[in-house]
Amino acid sequence: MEQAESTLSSLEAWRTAGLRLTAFPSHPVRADQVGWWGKLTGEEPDYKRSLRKRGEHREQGQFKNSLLTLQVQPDRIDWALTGADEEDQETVPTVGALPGAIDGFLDLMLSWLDFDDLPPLQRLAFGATLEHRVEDQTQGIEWIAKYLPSVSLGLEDLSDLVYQINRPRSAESPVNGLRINRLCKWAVVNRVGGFVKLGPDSARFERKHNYWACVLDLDINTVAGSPEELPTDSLSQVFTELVELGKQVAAEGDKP
Amino acid sequence: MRSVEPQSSSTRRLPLGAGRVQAYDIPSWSRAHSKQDRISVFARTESRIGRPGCYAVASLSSTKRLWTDQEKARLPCLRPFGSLSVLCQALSEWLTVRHQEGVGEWPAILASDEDQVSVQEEPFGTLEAWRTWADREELWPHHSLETRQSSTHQSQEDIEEWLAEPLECLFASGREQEFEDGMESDFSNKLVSTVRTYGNPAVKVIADLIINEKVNAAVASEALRWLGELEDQETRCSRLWLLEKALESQSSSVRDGALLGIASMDDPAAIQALERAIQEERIGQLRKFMQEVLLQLEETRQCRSS
Repeated sequence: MEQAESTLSSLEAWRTAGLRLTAFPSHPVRADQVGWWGKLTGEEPDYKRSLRKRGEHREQGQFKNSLLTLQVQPDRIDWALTGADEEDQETVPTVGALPGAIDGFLDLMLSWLDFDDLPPLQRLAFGATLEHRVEDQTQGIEWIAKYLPSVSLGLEDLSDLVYQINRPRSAESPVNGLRINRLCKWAVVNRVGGFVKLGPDSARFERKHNYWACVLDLDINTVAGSPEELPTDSLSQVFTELVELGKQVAAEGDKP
Repeated sequence: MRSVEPQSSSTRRLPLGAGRVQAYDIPSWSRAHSKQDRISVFARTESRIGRPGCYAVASLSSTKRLWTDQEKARLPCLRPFGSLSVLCQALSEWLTVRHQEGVGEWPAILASDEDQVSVQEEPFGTLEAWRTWADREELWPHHSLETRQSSTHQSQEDIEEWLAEPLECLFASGREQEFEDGMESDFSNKLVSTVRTYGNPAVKVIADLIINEKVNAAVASEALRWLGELEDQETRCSRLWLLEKALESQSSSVRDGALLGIASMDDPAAIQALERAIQEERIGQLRKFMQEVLLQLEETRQCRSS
């Protein structure tokens, strides 16, 4: 197998398995009193759960053919958009092709960041799990190698490829000294999924899909450890920058 | 029974004798407690095998299936131990029974460098761990921790699971210590070190132990004081949440510890929780302390806003 010398695929080649915004408040949030899910979507969530002794609150519901989840814990607030389960799915549920999915999620999260009852935030993060289906492991490694120009893979007798790297950089957003982690994990994986059907006397696993995929896991976040709160009026700008950096990695691969 | 000499080389496995767990020449006191499906043994080591003041942790874990009432009856481990030798004997007898029943493999005792002793976890998991605190720290899932600072993933449940037992042991060991106001102790040092190293997962485990009243109130109180004193930006929010939540405790000792922690943290964000606690507080002296801390926080808020 020779290292392929070809251009990278377009952003549309990535399917979006999940998108995430994580916010780290500087003070604990009264999780069950926020009501952000309904306020953001204009609908009631399908599911609500509060674990008061753990300070956790979770709301979840359908949102534009996807599943939108809000989870609030004492030290973090997570918004996640994931694909909704369907009966005849041949892959893991996805939110759709990358550019459209990410733009829709960004719009939604910018609306939330504009809420006036947000607690002061110290950190923001954008996470995404992207995948590109391939025929087999070999093809997956060839495909992903193009995104890792600084790694000499050799491509002979390779398997179980997982490559994780953080390339921190200074933010362009006008927040003094703000640094951004660009933590990216590249892998070629075999996705196997299905359902366990429970009968009166037995449990049977019914396989729904089994395929190979290149996976890119993005975790783009402002660095930890600063006692300073992020200025409220710059939250949208900071999060937009995180998303743009994520798109850049997905489009151009691992670059310093 | 014979003692195990500390080894200067790296960790090595010592084969067990016929049906005997190696005994250690550790004269100091140890104790045990049992749960429905688990027995844990804590032993303080003061011999040449352990570091002075260091806790060797012997933990016997099993599933409910393995721990039938009949088996429990055979186990002297269910009583507090007079010494670690008795513990070894108890383990030995129990393992002999398991061996005769053809269940699993024998555990192997590891003697490592730096005077540490441990027992290797075996696949069938009856004897889960026997190692000093320091040994345990070397065995943490370092991969997860190394990326803790840059990763914002929520995949820290494995760390929480890992931390649950040693932290429970730490709190149990705290019962044997006498705490003096403001003075560091073996307990406080290890608690602070654990939170610094493992961050929010450690705070969550501690919160579970304290809020669900799984640990001694005096030890919980001591822990809360130190959690308030700790300077660690990453865990600040979850520590403050725990301190606020602990103000609702049934135990006045725990509420007192939480109050001292909040006073140390000096964060006006706790004002609302403190006001609620003052309304609920029935002990006059404690209510008075709460009002003093409330004044302090209000002053801090004024200073910060001016």
